[in-house]
Amino acid sequence: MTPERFNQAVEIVRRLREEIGRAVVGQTDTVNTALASLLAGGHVLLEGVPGLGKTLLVRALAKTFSGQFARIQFTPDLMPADVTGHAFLDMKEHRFTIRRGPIFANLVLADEINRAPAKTQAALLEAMQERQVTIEGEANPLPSPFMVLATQNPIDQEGTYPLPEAQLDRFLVKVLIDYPTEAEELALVKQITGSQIGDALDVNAVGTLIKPETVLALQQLVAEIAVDEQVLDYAVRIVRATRDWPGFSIGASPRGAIALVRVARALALIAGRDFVTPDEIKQAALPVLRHRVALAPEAELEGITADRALAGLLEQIAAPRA
Amino acid sequence: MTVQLESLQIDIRPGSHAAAIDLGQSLLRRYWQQVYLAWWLPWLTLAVLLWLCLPAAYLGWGTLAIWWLRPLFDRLPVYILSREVFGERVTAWQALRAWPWQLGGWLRSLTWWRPIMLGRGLYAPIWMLEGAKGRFANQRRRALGARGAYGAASWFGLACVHFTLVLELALLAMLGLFMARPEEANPMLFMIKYFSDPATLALTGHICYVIADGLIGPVYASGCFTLYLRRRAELEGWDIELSLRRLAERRRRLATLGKSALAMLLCAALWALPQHDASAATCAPSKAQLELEKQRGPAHNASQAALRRDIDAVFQSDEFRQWDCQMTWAPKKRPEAKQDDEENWLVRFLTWLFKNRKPGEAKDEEQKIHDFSGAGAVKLGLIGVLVALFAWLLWRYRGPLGALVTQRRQRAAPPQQVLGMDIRPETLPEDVPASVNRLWQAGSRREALALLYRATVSKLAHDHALELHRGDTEGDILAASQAAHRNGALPQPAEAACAEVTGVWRNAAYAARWPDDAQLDHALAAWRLGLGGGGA
Repeated sequence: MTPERFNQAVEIVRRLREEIGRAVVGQTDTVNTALASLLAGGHVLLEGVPGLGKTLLVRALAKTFSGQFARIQFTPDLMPADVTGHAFLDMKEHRFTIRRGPIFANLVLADEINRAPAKTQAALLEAMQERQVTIEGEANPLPSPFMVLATQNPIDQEGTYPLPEAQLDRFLVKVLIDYPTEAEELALVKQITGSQIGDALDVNAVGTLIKPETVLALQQLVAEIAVDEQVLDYAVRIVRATRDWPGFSIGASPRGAIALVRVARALALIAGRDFVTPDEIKQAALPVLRHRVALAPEAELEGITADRALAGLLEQIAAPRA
Repeated sequence: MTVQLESLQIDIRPGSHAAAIDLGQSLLRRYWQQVYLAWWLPWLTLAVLLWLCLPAAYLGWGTLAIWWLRPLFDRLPVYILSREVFGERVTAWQALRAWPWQLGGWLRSLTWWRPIMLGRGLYAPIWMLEGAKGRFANQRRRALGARGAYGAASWFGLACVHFTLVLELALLAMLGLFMARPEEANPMLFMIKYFSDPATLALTGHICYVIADGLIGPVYASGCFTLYLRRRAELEGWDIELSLRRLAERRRRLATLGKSALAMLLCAALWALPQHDASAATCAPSKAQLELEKQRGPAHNASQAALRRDIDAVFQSDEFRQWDCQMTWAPKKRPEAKQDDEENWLVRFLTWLFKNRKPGEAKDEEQKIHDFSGAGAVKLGLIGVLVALFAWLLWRYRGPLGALVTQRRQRAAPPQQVLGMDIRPETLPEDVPASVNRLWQAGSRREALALLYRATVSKLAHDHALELHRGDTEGDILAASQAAHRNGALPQPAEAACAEVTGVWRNAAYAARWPDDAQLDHALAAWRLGLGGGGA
């Protein structure tokens, strides 16, 4: 990794952030984490109440590169074949033809993923893990880069199918989108209501900057970012601490530690550094670990959230010893 | 039932309702074996029959039915207790054999709204014991329920309903605790999970209700029964009648006077008069008065003696007599002197201490001087000890008291370790830049930069009161210093020094990018300016 190449990558990432910022007002951490997930080659689960711009973020991210984008609205009657595709008999040619589903895209938005039954969720999550879809016994690789951004709503749980913990593990990060600050909300309202019909958020302002190949190159570069032994040790200590922490009944798996370092690398690139510091590990800890731990019943009864318990844990785990 | 007041075994009087309910509980404690046995035999039989006969899904209706029939079970404790209070021994078996005959009026008792009436227990004995029916029973109910009696019975009924509910829930929770897995320590979670099956829920609810109400039911019945007795005692003046009967009995034994009611009332009137008037003539002068007379010196002349006689004669009249006669039982051999000494030594000591004289002794100047040497010294000593104790307490709790007075919460002490580094000021060398330079020149680059960064964090935490935590990273400390600078709590040079040193340290520690000598000198200069007290 030459310094020139690295600086070029930092510049591209900076411009990507700028472009996304044209559509998504504020939410810096959320944008950074989603971008980090793209750079680390992972999938994102976005959670937030309706109207906070989950879909907008995904559309803006998709707009920044010229790859294929597909959106799947998950509903209770959605079948696995509606996601992955299926084979049908072509009457003209008298043979089975494979019709690929919407999952064959670079960026897939799985809107309200918890509204579809378990088998449909499983089909998607399996594709996410394997990066290929088997139709009629034939393995079809998914395009590269491939990223799934799934959204779910924390309220209105009637008739939903919550994702099992084992499947949540497939998502590199879980991002909680919170309400914007007052200044951000003011800017947002001003942007939407100024000379515009309706309340749709405009992603046309977002320009296309890169090609899918550039994303792959960026992903390669992120993988080369240096991580000191002490920083690795810090990441592993955090993940191991979740297994004995009193607030958790189930801690994160080694996959959690791996994800932590992957996201920290991408965050280092976003921060313009070619090495990872403990700050990135700490910054990545909440999005990476919050869906990989299970709260103990007593902590849950006391109203403690996974984020709060993790924050307490991070406060107690000493950063690397010099 | 005819009330045989003379054989009443309890002291019933028109006191408070609470006292009456309490009396009921005392009665229940005394005769609990008969009462609970008589209650539980039919109660349990009915519960088991309902469980066997009803399909699992309809067992809830069985529980409702057994609750509905509870007024009929209330009659068993009332039957037993109403006989026991008048001295008649009743076994559980006898009560059960009599029970079918006590069930008269059951239709009325089970009218749709009656089992819901919380104060129904007060009225149960009207039919059972008095045999009142129809309009007369209504009148009796009105009379017995007046003056807050029905209200008291209702409140007691409400309390019993709550006791039952609490007991029932406690039984369910206990069941949950025993059957839940260790990780499901919350019995309520267990209930939600396992009792989601309606049949299981109905059976468990049925069992718990039968146990809970089987324990609380007799408590309610006995409390209401004594409330009923209290009300009757109030209405019919049982206590007065009993007093008169006892009086009459005593008079019969003491004298052979006529047994007419007139004589009895006369005796009662006599008995009610103040006793000292009746027996004053037989009383001797009080001991205190005799003592007073003893202190009187001999008369100086005949006229004084005559005057005294006249005065004594006047004082002998009843108007001036205030004798108090008491008749009590006392042990024959009373250790008077010793007991007096034991009880009063403290009083004597304190009197001596604070009045500077012994009890009963006159105080003169000489005595004062004599006492000062002993009692005065002890007094001064005690005051000194108290003052010292107070001063010690002030000193001991000076921290919290100081915070209380200034109304300021003490700032939490800075942590001893941040980023795994010891940041106590005493662990730093006297001249940090010089030590860093020395280490750098000696080739210990990592140690040199670690010392510089450690000194930076230590200075920020201790000299500039920056609030740091054990798990803070370099970025957190930098952000805290920037925030403190924005708030005016940290001078700009200090913040700049922190940023400079953090940058150098981060590059070296995590990317092995060592600064050159010029960069290090720049960082050290910034450190001296911002955190080294502005020194060289």
